[in-house]
Amino acid sequence: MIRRSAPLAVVLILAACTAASAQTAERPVMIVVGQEPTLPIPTLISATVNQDVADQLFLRLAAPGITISTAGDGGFQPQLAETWRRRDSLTLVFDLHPKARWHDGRPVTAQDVLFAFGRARDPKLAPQLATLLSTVADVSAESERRVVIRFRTAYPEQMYDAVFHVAPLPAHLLQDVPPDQLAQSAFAQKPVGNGPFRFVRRVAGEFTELAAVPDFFLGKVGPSGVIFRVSTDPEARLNLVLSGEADGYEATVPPSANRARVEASGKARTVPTPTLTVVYLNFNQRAADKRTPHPILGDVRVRQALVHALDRPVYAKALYAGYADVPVGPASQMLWVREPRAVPSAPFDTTKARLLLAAAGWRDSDGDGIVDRNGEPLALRVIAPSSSYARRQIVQIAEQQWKAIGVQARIELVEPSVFGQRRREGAFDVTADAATQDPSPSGLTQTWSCNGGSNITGFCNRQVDSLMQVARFAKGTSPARWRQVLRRIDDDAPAAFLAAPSNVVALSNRVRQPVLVPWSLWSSVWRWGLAPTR
Amino acid sequence: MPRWLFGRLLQAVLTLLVVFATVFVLMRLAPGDPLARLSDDTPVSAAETAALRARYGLDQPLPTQLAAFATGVLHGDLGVSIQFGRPVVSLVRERLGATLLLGLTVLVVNFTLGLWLGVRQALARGRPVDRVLGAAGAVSVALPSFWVGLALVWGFGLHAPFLPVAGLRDPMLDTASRAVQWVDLLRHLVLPALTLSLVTIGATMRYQRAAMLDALVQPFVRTASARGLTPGAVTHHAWRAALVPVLTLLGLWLPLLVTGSVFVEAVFAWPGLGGLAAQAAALRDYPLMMGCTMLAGTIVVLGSLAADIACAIADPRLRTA
Repeated sequence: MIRRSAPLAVVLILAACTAASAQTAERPVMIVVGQEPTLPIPTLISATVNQDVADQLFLRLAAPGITISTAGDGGFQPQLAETWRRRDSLTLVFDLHPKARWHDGRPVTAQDVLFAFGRARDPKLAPQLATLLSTVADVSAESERRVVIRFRTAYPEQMYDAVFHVAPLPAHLLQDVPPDQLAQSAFAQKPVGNGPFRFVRRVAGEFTELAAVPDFFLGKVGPSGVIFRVSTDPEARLNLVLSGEADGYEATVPPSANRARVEASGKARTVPTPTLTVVYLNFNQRAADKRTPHPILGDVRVRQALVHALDRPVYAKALYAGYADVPVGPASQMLWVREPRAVPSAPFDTTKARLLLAAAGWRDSDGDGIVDRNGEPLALRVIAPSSSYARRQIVQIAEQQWKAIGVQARIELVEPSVFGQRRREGAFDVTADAATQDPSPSGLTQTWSCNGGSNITGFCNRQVDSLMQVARFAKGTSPARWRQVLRRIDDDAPAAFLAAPSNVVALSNRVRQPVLVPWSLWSSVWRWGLAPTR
Repeated sequence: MPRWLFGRLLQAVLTLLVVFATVFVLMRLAPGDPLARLSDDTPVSAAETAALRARYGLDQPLPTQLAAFATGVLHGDLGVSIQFGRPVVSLVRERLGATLLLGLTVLVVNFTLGLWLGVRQALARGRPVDRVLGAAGAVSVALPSFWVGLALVWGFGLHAPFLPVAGLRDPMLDTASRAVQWVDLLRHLVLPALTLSLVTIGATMRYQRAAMLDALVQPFVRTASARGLTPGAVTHHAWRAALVPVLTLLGLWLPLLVTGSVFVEAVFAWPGLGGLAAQAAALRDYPLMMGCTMLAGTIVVLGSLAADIACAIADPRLRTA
């Protein structure tokens, strides 16, 4: 009798526990992420997931609006700064919100802003941030609540540079922590912020839990908390959403089929959100010695032929379920200077591609289907990270499309660490890249100017550099000059700009009124409404 | 301490030293840059890259790096993970509990149910029970663990949502009673443990069946039967002799279950060492990779040693071998 009853007892216990967990009221929002947020501290941030958590804990002085227009002083929403005004063309004055508090109860003061800027502008501590803030001449406090930021020169994006790159840090907790010890400090393990959620705990390899701040000074926080749950496998992340265990998961597609799976689950739906991402095949324009031009891709006609040979709308359809468009130059959907209905300068045209190759001396002289010059076939070494589904697919589609014009692509799928090494060393002809851009178009200088810090291909067009300088420091907020920059880059074909994709976000059906912010997807979770838990 | 045991211990220590030094050198000779992933997410200047290389000692010659690592190990310091920015010892310790829970559960299933089924097969040799269990064991050995995992998730997590699809626990049950938390842990354990058990139990069954069949034809078993012992007592005598090869298998399974469940950990977002080691290898996180290797290597050697000791207890003749 006992032996027969045992399985039944197990089933009853498990069922009871299922009911127990389902009855838990006020479940926080659960967001499933692919990496563990181990250091969600401003000035230390390296991975996107750390930024996602940091944006729940630490507010900026002000935040870009939903359209991310970075030029001018308007278009920003107050955060720690209640108001701001311009004293002259070089000076911005910020008055902090009197009710802004750190999670330990201390008020947020001007000293906290100065402290964070001091760390961020030190080239030894944060070289990248220091470069981004090189136009800031001085940051000073006029009172406990008033911060004055002075710039070296007048330009349209002063406000953006003043508020976007640096989130204030609690000086009273960190002034005795040596900067190089911050990552190992107790503060890094349990950060004290000033945002809508406070840090509760991080369980290694599992999740990071944040709880709502009851008297948050900007308004009532909707969810009782946020949990960032870690799962390195994309299928496991999707399963958490499909089973109703998680409330949010970004980048559901590619693969395209995932969108239908989410919609069919009855527990979640997809919400396409514009992004700052551009996907492209980057052409190396330097030879292996890094001094002379690349023997094949140094010729602009070959690069243009390669772009003409690609039927780019296919990528949007095959990979992103149609939620992507073909950009003109390196322009993501949310780059405010992009031309929405512009046509790329090299549309799909295999005849023109063959003519351009012929003009560059590449012809199929031996009838083997591959064009050649001086007996050498046109073969390109194409690298992509094996960990990225999208980029694996991209190089495979490109291989087929280039084959049609007699270009041979030798695909090498390599581990991320090898991919990064090859990119840095220039050991490739073509690399499949996906870049998340800065909201500001001035970020384009990093990759597409002759001396840009992220320019790995040696692309150098002095006219583009000159246009960028003019656009960056031009008066007014017109996007016209930046559009010239994008058009000129597109003409020169330093890369085949394949897609500006949307982020197809999966959200559980209990999430009502979701606000998704393109530059920091989950930063407005605190404003979300949730359906009552059953 | 018996001389043979001292000899085995010395052999184990030497094996570990060779393994650690070899892995240390091979990892650094393999292509890939441990700082590449950092610079993939956020552009890092040449000066910052140089500073990071100096911080992690990557700018030093290989012998200097090896010496620094050995000195650190002697002081109980395995260094700081490049990707996580935290001490390797802490990272490994944090994941060890989940790994042991899953691995030992599967080990217990294997060496209770697996052994029992193997013995049943041997006793029913040639009969339908033997054939059915034999076929099931063959299927078990042939099944890829990730496929079994995904099928179980579909069946019990999505189609009939009865069990959680991923993770070690429900984060929201932190304030629940201890009993509820234990049941929640068990519910999360069911699918990953079932997956690993299904793909490993076939081998245990086949080993046990073969060993039992060998034992059943030994002269001492025939003698026992001739002396009028009950069939149960005869089986017990035969089973003890059949345990020796299976105990060797146990020694080999142990490390596999501790660090070899990479796919299962990925499918079920199980926060164990297998996934951590795979991540460390893919990202060339040298300090973390060495930490995982040291743990895995130690478990392999200790598992092997434990199997030898268990075999010596089961069969005293092996102590002099």
